[in-house]
Amino acid sequence: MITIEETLKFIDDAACEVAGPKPVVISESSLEVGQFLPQGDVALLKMSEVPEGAVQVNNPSPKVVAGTTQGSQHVWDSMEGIEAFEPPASMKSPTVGLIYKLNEERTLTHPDHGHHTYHEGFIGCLTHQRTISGNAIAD
Amino acid sequence: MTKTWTLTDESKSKTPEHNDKWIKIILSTDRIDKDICRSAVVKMYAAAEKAPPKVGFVRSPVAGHIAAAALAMLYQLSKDPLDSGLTYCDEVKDGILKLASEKANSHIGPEAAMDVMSVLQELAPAAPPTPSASSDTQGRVQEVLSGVLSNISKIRSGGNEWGSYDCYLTFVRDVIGFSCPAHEHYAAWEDLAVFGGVRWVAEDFCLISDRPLTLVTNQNNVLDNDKGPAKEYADGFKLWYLEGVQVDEQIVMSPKSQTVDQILAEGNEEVRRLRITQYGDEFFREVGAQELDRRENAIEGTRETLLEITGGMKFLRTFCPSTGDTYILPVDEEITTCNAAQSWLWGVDDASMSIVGRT
Repeated sequence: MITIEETLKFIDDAACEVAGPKPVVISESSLEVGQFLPQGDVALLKMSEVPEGAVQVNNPSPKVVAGTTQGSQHVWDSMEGIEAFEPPASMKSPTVGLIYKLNEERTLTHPDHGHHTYHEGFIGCLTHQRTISGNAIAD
Repeated sequence: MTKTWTLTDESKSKTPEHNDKWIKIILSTDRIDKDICRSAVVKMYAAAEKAPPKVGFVRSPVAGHIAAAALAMLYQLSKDPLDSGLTYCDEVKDGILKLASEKANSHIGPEAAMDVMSVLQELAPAAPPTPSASSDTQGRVQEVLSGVLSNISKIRSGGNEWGSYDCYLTFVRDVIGFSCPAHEHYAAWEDLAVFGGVRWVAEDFCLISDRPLTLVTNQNNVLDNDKGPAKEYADGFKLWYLEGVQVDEQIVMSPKSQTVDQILAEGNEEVRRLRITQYGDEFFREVGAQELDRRENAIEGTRETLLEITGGMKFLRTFCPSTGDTYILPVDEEITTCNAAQSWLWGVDDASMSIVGRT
């Protein structure tokens, strides 16, 4: 039987070797529709188009999730060239955020995780990692 | 007309100095300059074509939050009670002052209570005599003030604490050398960042908080103190932070007094991580953690273990490939593999969805 010390060591040994955040450039060929690359507990799920029924948001915030904690600081480097949409009712859930359409290359920054630079033309739906309590969004 | 500017090598060389200047302002523990702040507030209101407000000062943001809510309520009632069910008079005014002071006392302490009472007496509008005493007035005052308190942050501005915005705004002027007429109006706002603290800006009043007496950060300039409060204000208000994450006093000063139930019930992943870190690895022994599955996750550059604890709750234990911080993430009790746990966490419920990496 595996002891708790062995279990903890399996994770802790590898965690000690982490070299720090690495920026990622996401080109057109990096992701297929339906694929995503988490930045901490947030990701943009690649979509082929803005779905029918999505409603454009006026003056969207560059900060893509709510909250004031360090962990919630997923922020676009600029909103120039970014259109944001409320997803249609059929897509709505506590773990789904806005849909972003990038009309030019933009970078989703974070103070702890690697920045993600998405290519012009990228369309993605903000997705939060699920939590056990009612699938609510973790701040 | 579009104006363009270019980032020259000379400008690039000035950038670190510019950033350092604003980091010092953001992390400043100097007292605010009340004279400069008063003058800047008048200029800022003039730029907005508003009459000068009454200006007051408190020693901490929490005292400011309470006093600002009370003032907003006092001025609104004095002009138009709307549907509050209250009529502005001595009794109502005294009731608001008393309640605000009591709140400051219970949240911070007696010094903050005195500050709040003092600034309210100085800035509150005069009230007419009470026409006839009502037995229910104080209950209604309490109800309305609670509502105002929950919304008052909408008129809050960060002062020096929001200096990162000013760092961007002044970069173009001070480093690039580009200026425009809007900079004249901005100067008052800038003074309030350089010489002031957090403020509450309303039509009739502007309330400004002093800065902390002490502020403890780590090498990354984020609030971090495992030996005491990371921020302490002159009226006794304290804030506790570990690695930039706001926590409570118990986690910092007496982490072993936490209970396993408290840790498991923590809803914020970062705070849960810090609760466990501070508590120590015995947490896993105390909850009877058993490993059900483990894997090397080559796609995300991590390792994962699926743990089950006494009572049947399950957790995916893994680490962040950017920070190396370890987390335990609660997952559905039906899950039996790390792969299924990751899929559950991201709602990957069919073959058309997949994770291709992680930072």
